[in-house]
Amino acid sequence: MIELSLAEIVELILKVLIFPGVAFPLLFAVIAIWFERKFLARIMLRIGPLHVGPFSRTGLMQPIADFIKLIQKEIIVPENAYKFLYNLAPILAALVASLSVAFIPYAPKPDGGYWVIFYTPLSLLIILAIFTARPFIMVGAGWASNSKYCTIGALRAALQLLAYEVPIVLSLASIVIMSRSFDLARIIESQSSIWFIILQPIGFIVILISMMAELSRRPFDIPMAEQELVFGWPTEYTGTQFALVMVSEYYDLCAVASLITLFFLGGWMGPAIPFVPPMLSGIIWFLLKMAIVTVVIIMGRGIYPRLRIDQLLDAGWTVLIPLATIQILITLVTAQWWLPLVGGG
Amino acid sequence: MVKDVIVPFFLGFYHAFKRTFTIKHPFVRLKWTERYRGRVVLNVDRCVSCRSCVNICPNKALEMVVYKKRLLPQYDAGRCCFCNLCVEVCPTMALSMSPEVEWDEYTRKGMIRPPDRFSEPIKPVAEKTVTVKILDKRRGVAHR
Repeated sequence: MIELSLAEIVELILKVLIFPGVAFPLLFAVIAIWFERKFLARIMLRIGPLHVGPFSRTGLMQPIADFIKLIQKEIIVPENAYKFLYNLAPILAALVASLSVAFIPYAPKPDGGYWVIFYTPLSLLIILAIFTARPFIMVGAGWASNSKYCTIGALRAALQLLAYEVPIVLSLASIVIMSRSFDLARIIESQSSIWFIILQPIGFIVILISMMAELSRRPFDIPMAEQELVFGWPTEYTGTQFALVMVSEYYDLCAVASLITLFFLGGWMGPAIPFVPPMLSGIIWFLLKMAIVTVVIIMGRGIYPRLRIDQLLDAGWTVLIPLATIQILITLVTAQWWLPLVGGG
Repeated sequence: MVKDVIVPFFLGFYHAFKRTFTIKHPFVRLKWTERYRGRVVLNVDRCVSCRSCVNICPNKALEMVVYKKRLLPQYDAGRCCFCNLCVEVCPTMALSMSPEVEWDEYTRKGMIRPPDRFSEPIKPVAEKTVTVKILDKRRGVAHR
């Protein structure tokens, strides 16, 4: 048995239940859903949610009202569905999506170490494994629903995986070359003097596009194209299961925004805020950068038209993969100049 | 191609801080144009019971009934097509089109307005909540 002191137990509970753990992604999901609806409405010169909640004409409690409505609804299972997988898939989706937050360091602790639930030097590989698992849940759910829209959506999700997975891994490779580590915390530490977005602008663009495809957000929402396939692979889900699917999407958005912040925008790095302890200021900087990345990702839904599946695969294989490879080459060739800039040892 | 990706981004932000196009309808109303054709209103004092409106109505929305020992038109809003013919044909200008479009009844029969309800004046709208349509060069119609 490992002996834990009281302070360590309190810290663990705080981590698991509140900040990077259970409460933070849920709160992020609620705020992101509200912001997405309101912001998209404003882009389209509409008003958006209006009446629910305090502060008149903000509709602040609209996601919570929707969630309560969804919980009250009946769970309908299609007659010919494979019921075990059908019922398991939304739970798995939410579980897998929320897992990745456990490995992301959000701030350095004053006594050394990082504010992360589970610290491991190979956290980047675990994150990649978690991200790769998601399309298989989609495929399983779509197949188990035994409905044509769900099946087509699931197949499209599997095809889309081919387009974005390779560029993500390739452009992460150049980050690993730069920081010489698979450790997410070390990747942030190595950006202490200069952010990777300045050293690797091509990699940033590639990973932003691929991550948007991974999230299946608007320009790449091919698996759930509303006009073609009613809602894609989760079409048949109702009530709480649908709420789980929705929440899992925003968990993923949370993880992706954290990861882009972490890889390219220097994570918790930023000027010290006066009268605030360094750990808290690190968290504030991290959340601020995350918010900016989230706005950029959400913005895509309001302004871009959807690509066809062949266009996405074409772009993935003929544009993104060569760009990521070029980024790796540039990184290797210019290594002698950037090596003194990268901190962290 | 790069321009197509980047320009919408700034346009989106520009639109996000513009005045919205939507009107919060029950609280704010559009001001109708002067000749807007809404519900027909009867002026009982002017009516001479000449039946012209009943004769010309293409949908048989009007019908003469006895009301307080007088022969006056009765109006079926459910049949009316707002064609303005009865207003044009009326020799004494007893009929007129009002801008009122919002009325609702629980039954089909409730849409039939006998002369007393036919001559009801329109509900006044608070001056403060009225907005006016204006012409925006970029978007066509906008509201103020």
